[in-house]
Amino acid sequence: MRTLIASLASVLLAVGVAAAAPKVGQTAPDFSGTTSGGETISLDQFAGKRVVLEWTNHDCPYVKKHYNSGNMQSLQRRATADDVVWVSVISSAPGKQGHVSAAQANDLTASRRAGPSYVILDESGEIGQLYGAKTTPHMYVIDEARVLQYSGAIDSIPTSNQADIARADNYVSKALNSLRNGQGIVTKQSKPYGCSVKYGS
Amino acid sequence: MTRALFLAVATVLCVLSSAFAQVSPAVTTNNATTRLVAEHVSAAPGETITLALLQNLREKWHVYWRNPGDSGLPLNLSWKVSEGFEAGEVLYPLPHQLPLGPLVNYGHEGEPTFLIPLTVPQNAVPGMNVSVTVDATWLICDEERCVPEDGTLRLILPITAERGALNTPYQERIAAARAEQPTPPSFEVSYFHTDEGPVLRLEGPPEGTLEFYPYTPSLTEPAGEVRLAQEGETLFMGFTAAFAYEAARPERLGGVLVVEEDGTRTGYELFAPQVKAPATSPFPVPVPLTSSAAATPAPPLLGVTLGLAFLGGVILNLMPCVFPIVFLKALGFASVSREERGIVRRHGLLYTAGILVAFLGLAGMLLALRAGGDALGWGFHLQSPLAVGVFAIIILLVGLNLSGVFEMGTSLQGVGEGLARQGGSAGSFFTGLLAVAVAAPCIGPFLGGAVGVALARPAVEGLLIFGTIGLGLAAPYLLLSFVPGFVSLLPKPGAWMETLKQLFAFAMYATLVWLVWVVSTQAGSDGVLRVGLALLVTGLAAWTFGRAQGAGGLFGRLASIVLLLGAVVPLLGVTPKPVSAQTETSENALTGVPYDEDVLATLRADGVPVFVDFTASWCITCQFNKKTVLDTAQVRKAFAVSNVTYMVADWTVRDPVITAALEAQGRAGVPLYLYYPAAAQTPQILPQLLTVEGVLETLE
Repeated sequence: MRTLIASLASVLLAVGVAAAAPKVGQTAPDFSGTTSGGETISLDQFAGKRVVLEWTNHDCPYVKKHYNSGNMQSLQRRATADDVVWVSVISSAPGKQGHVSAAQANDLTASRRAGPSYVILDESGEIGQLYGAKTTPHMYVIDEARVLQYSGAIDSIPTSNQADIARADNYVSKALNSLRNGQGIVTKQSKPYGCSVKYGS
Repeated sequence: MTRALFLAVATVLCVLSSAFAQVSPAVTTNNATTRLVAEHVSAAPGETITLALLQNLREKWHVYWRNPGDSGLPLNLSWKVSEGFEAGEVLYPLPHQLPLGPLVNYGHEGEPTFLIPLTVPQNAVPGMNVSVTVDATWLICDEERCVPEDGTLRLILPITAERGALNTPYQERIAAARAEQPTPPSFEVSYFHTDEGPVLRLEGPPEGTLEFYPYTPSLTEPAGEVRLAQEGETLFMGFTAAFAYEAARPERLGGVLVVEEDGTRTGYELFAPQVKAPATSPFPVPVPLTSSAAATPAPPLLGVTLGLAFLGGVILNLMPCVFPIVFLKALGFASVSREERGIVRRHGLLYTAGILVAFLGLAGMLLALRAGGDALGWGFHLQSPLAVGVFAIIILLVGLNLSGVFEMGTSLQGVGEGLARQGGSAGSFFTGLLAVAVAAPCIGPFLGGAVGVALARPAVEGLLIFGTIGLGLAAPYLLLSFVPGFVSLLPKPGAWMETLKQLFAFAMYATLVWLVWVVSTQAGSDGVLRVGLALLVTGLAAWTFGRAQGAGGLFGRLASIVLLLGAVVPLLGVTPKPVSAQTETSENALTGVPYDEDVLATLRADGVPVFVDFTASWCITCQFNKKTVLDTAQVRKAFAVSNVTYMVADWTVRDPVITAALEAQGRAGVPLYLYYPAAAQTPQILPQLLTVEGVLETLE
């Protein structure tokens, strides 16, 4: 019995983001958040459009890998040109790495020549935990019917080395292509890689 | 002199080089100092020696285990060794859980030591010095930042005929790292599947705090709930499934079990084979995590559930088997004068008490049986043909009473005239009991969800929900007895009441026809014969009683009671006979395959869409859906066109597997309709009341 009680104690820390995370193939949960432009947007308002959610933290080396190489920006531009809504979400808590003000977020978009449709400031981590976002980057692709179609890493090579981008399978662009062509998505879920999302405690 | 000096320098250099040869220069990065060392000062041809990658990490920073948990990346080594030399898999130190807000990582702090076996080829020549180089990359993080670091580590390994001495400065650290390596367990391990995720079964593990670290990432949620249960010496650890597990359950669950006792951590390397899940869950309160689809990701709030339960109870009043009783009872009020308000109120309360006692009794029985390990769900009282037979007798008695074969006057019915009498108190209480008895078979779509929640909650909350359903059932009557104004809304009593009463009797007989049919599916023609006999004797008893009432004969009353008891006798011999879905199949009917989780898994793996119909013959909603929607030409055709396999989970008689499958969807009873589209991971849940359009839409 002692074993059991001791084990219980060790396990109580254990109610994390896992419980609520939406599953691929199910309806993506609605959320609303404030953008760096000061608007309030919700997933609902994009009904009928494909939506990409990108968890980000500009100081994370894995995010830098994809921004310094221009990989993320080109994904964003190709997607938005194809009428996809691209939402970058910053879930870093105040005082934690990657936390920015609205003005800083806009500066980052400008200086990195990034092309998201919106940047949501989620400093409470509410949206991040709703989606079970674990790393930066952590990517989600949602279809026109608001069904979650992809969740996981941006690509197949989990390193911080820019040279690996060219060799990697980009899961997000593959998922978007498959959706546009009405084909089945091959990789629907993968283990995201990167820095942990800097949630408040 | 010059020569002597040269010799001396050469000797020193030589000694130095041999002393430091088996150690790489330390690579110092921002957050770690890393070096590569060999356990022995030299290696012999053909043997495998141990290399160790030693890291001294900055305080509060950590690197990652082979499965890094929610985020992070493990050590990555890329070796450059001479032809024939081969570096093996990294042996990691025992991992620790590193919580980070809502995330949990698996990793190492302080001074982790990674062991790497290095095989020296047979043809290595003693006397040669071999260069061993590794490009190492690792991710190192603290609570704030994550930094990818790397270093190239190089050591010179002398080859000698015999293995050299231990590399003194590092021997203790390497020995400690080896001693810490997980060993095969001395106890039996296995795992089985549940809908929440894999459950490890450990037969008599050592005392201590248990942590399990799976080797494969994303099999279990590192921050997910771990459920624990103990049966004698056997311990169960239930994990929350992550996507890799849901995509493909492993044949063996591999990983490291860490047992911590008095500050000492001991690791066991497990490769737990998958076994069949036990019939009953080892965990005391089964909490279905895969609650009904995306519509309700979180369990509904208790308040909302109670509201629905109450509403469901109110709606029960309109069920064809309940309405006559309640309506006629209510009409009786109209004839009661205002002076008798107090009595009316008392009757209202007693009626409510009757309903609550019956409901809580039924619910308590269900919860107790479940706690005892029976896999039961709501409707369990209709899964036994004996119980259905008893319900049939009650319904027949009510019907015959309404038809006027006998009067219960003061007791069972007490319609109107008996209200003011003393005996009427017990009558109201029994009417409450009776209302539940006749309502029980009809509890249908409105209560499925609420009852599902009730069973998943702790017993107290469960009983609260059942009690609320009872209150809902009692509400209209209670309202009438407490708010005099409502009584005036009722039609004036009169001769028409007798006609209505007799007409309502046919609602009872209709219910009876249905119950007999239920028995036919549960116990076949033999069961129908036995129920028929029971009903015959019941009818005789009722008639005898009615005659005796007319004549005032005590003998007749006694005889009727004996007869009624006798009516149950033929029922005792009823034996359930499971009826498979196919027995009803005719050429034009919808053909289904019986529910089987293995078959379902195979079909899904093959990309065949599957429609699962959780049904029971005693479930009216199920039968209604089948007749009006599923078994129609349109739907049959759509199934054929989309190549859908129609699978029938028949819950008419008890079936623990189907009960478990229902609970996994957060349901306690039927109907439940699931559609697994080809290659989808999770089923779509259809509404409990189907429409042809809805089903066709789902199939598209």
